[in-house]
This record gives sequence, structure tokens and C-alpha cells, in this order.
Amino acid sequence: MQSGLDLFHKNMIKDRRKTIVIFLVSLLILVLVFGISVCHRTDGTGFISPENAIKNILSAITHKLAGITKNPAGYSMGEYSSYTDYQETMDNLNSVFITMAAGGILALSGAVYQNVFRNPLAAPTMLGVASGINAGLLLFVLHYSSAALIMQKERYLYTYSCALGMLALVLAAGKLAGKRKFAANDMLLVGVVITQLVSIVITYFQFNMSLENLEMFQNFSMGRLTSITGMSRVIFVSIIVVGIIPIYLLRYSLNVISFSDEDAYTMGIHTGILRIVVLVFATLLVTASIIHCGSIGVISMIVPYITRYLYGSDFRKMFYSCFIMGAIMLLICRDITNALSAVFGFIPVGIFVSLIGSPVFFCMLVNARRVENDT
Amino acid sequence: MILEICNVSCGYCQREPVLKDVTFSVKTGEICCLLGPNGVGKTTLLKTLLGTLKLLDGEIMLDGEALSKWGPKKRAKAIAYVAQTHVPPFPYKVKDVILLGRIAHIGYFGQPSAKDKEFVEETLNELGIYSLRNKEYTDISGGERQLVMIARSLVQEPDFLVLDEPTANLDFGNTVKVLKHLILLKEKGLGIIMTTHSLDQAFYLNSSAALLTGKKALKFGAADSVLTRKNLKEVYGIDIKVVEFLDEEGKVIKICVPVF
Repeated sequence: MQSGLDLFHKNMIKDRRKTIVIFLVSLLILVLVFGISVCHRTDGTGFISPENAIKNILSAITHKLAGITKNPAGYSMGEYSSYTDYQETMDNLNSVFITMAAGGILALSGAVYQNVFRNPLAAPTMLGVASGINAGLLLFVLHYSSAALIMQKERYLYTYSCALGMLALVLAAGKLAGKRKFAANDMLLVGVVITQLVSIVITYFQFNMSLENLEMFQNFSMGRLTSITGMSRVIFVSIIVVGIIPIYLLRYSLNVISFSDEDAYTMGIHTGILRIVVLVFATLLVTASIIHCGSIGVISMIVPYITRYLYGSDFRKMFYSCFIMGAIMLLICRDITNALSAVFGFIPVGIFVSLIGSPVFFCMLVNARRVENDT
Repeated sequence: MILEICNVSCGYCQREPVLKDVTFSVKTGEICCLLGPNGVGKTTLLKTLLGTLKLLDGEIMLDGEALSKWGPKKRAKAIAYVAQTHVPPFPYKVKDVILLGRIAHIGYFGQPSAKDKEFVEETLNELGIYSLRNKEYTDISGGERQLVMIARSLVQEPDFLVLDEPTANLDFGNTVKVLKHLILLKEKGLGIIMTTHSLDQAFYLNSSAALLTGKKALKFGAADSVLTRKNLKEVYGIDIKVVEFLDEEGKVIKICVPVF
């Protein structure tokens, strides 16, 4: 009996070591990509030397610290390579952090959706928030016309309320279709139907818009005109914090949701409330990242698939791995689009993400079918 | 402990109950086989027992306490369920699937502790499937999957185990393997309620039998007294002989043979 226990412990330790190694490796890759992205000039024209980048960052840190501790010696900027470089590094750093956060939460909410709907192909945009955001932007642009460019607060008001309105609409309609029960697949189908309807209406209005308005609308929806500083950053970060805490706390229970309702109930978990709670918070995260960073929702579909393959399906691991992988993927996409933009003119990250996303998605579909046939 | 089903009516709507006024009981350390033709209400009764379907009338009592007032968490600690095997859409590892059985003890916000994990390893070992621990649940065979589901329900530490056709889709060897494990569990003091289409299993498990007759009613008693030629003719509509013979070692074996 004693030797049996020893064997168990040995195997448990072996498993844990494996997990730690794979997470360390992925963290290392994240740091590497992070370093490259920070040094990569945002206009895609080359690199700042890592030396200079570090110098600039250190100088910024001492400057900030001096501001906090009110130490007059630190008020001088210290060493930095050149003022334009310094400014660029700072802007870049901000954008890198935001990109990482956006990639991470998109992947995470994608994983939540897949578990809730028990479908490896479910995506957060399927419940209509993306088209809700677009509808909000459309209303906003139509209402304020050229003044829209400077009305940041109103833009957030329009987009957030339209996105949440769409979500509520889909949930209510889905409940009706599912005979007042929370039937996951009905919800997805209703979401697709309503999304289609809304995008047709949006297309109609696009045809009848003035050219300036149309251009503005498109730029907004691709995330080009949304600089993430000041108020935008505050809203974004606080929504991330609010949305991520419940998902973090419920990360183990999220495993149970992916089994059948009956199974979950007999295991002692009420799936109904749990589902709605995580769904609302995951949707909030997606909405925030699409509003603040443009339509990059495809990340949320692909990354969980990759992380499941690499790290296993346990949601405790998924929570961290989605964050790391999402950040890595979106950073790489950002760097590549920046480099391509220097050659071909402006390319929104969202377009590039969708471009590589579609073939990957197709492979997933084929693979998922194969698994079904095997069993 | 004793699980009593008292005058229970169950079904999907109040006007048309599938079963009416059903009464039987199972003690810990006993096996009860739920038998009957297709569509007669076996699964409905199980669902009602588990609480996933609302009781229409009557009461289910565990040691005199009404189960209908219990939440899912308390229920899960008393009664565990082994569904007919199905595959989750994601490639979970076997040990992760089994660890999930601890969720009733862990709670919504908790995390499994080292002790929980140890418990899983022990259960894997007991059921003789320790080598499966790091395999993906989607990749293993049907018989193995059934054992994994039983392991998951065992780590729930229940007093009663409810199984829905645990041997459906299993080959002869795996069927006997699963049944042998059930006997071991019974001897350890678990109460077991299972549905099955194989009448012989009731004899083999030396269990009590609840035979659903198809007239919204149920006959309950020891397998020997319930599974008689007359009762079986009435329920299944065909002639079934109950044959008894001695094997080489002098053990009495009883089987049911349909007459063509």
C-alpha cells in the first residue's frame, strides 16, 4: 500500500513538472515576442536597438518614480537615445501592453464560450455583440456626422449600449426559441439570425451615407481612429479587471459546464446561473476589446483551439495559457501588419487576423469532423 | 442508509404521468435492477430520482429526509450518477474527468487540493485503470470509458450509485468486468440502482428487481420472485423461460431464455 502511494506521488509530481516546464517555455516565448514588439517601430520601418529601448524605458521609469516620490533629482529625464525615439518607445510600449491584454482576454472569452456552448467552434461574436457594436457606431456616425471624431464619450456610450442591447435581445429571443429554457444551441442559431438581420440593415445605411461618414464609420470599426490613451485606456483596463475576476474565480467550475446539464447537476453544480454569469462577463470582455482595439474577434476562436492542443483542456490551465497564447498571437499579428503597412499602406490588424484566421478555422472544422466520425 | 421511493408519480407533465404510485426501496449494500421494455419509463424514473426531473407526486426519502428539499450539492454527496457514456466535446485527460467528481466537495469557487488528486489516483488504481490516467478521455474504448465514469462517481463519495444501462454497448468481457466492480462496490457498502435490459444480470448480481410493467406500475421484490415466467410474459409479451442449472462446481446459475 505504501509503495502504491509513493507511485501516485511520483506520478503526480511528474505531471506537475511537465506543466511547469511547458508554461515556462511559453512565458519565455512571450517575453521574446514582447521584446521584439517593443523594439519594432510602429510605422514598420525597422527596429530601435534593444539597448536604446531599454534606456528609454528606464528613463521613463525613473521619471515617473521621481514624480511619485517628489524627488527633484529624478525630474531630469536622465539618459535616453533621442526625444523622438523616446516618444515612440513610450507609445509603442503602451500599444504593446494593450495588444497583449486584448489578445489575452479575447482568447479567454473564446474559451469560455466554447465551454459554455460545448462546441469547439463557438465564438463570442456569434451572440451578436460585434454587429451590435457596428450598429452603435453607425448610429453614432449618423447622429454626430463630422463632429463624431472628437466625441469620445458619446462613442463609448453608443457602442457599449448597442452591444449590450444586442446581447440582451439575443438572450431573450433564444430563451423564447428554447421554450423558456437556456438551450445553448438555440441561442447560437438565434444569434446568427439576428446578426444577419442587423448587418443587412447596416449595409443598407452604408449605401446611403455620405462619403466622409462612410470613411469615418469604416475607420472606427477597424479600430484605426481609436487611440488607446487617457479615458479609453481607463475604461478598457477597468472593464478587463471587472470581467476577469469572476472568470478567474470560477475557472475550475467552468470544466463542469462542458459536460451535459444532467451530468453537471448530479455532480452538484447548477449550470443555469453559472452559465449566464460567465457568459455575460466573457461578452463584456469581448465587447471592450472590439470597441477599443477594432474587430479582432477571430483570435478568440483560434487561440483556445491551439491551447487545448498544447496544454490540455482543463480550464485551470486554459485560463493562463489562453492569456499567454492570445497575447503572443496578437502581438505577432500586430508586428506583421505594421511591417506590411509600411509597404502596402495602412492595413488594419483586424483584417490580417481574419485573413490568417479563416484557413486555421477551416482546418479546425475538418479536424473536429474527424473526431466526431471516430467515435 | 435507506433510499425510499414512496408513491412516486413521475413524467414530463402533470396530466399524463409516465409512472404512477411507484413504491420501492434500496438499502446501502444492496443492488436493485430496474427492468422493463423500451419506453416504459426507466430513464424517467432515474431522472426523477436524481432530481433533474421534477417529482409529480409522492416523495423520495433518504433516511427519512425528503430529497426534494435538497440542493444539487447535497444530493451529489449522497447519490452519484453514471450516465450512459457520452463524449464531451473537448479532449479532457482521464484524471481530469475523474477529478471533476470532487466538485460537490470543492464548491463553485474552490480548487481541487492535493488530497483530492490523491483520492483520484487511488480510485483509478482500485478500478484497475491506473494506466489510463494521462490518456485523453476521447481516445479510450467504451468499456474503459464506463469504468472512468464509475470512478468519477465514486470520488463523489456517495452512498448510492445510480447507473443508466452501464453495460449497454459493451462486449461480453467488459460487461462482466463492470458487473464485477459493481459487486465489489456493493460489498463495500454502496447502494446501487441500475437499469438494464439483460434479465440475467439481476440473477448474477443477486439483486432485487423492480420490473416496470408498462401499466404505469411496478413490481418489486427479490429477483427470484419478480422475474417469473408469468410476469415476464405479461411485461414483454413473449414467452421467456427462467432456467436454472448447476455448473461443474455445483454453483446454481439462473438465466432467462426466450422461447422461439
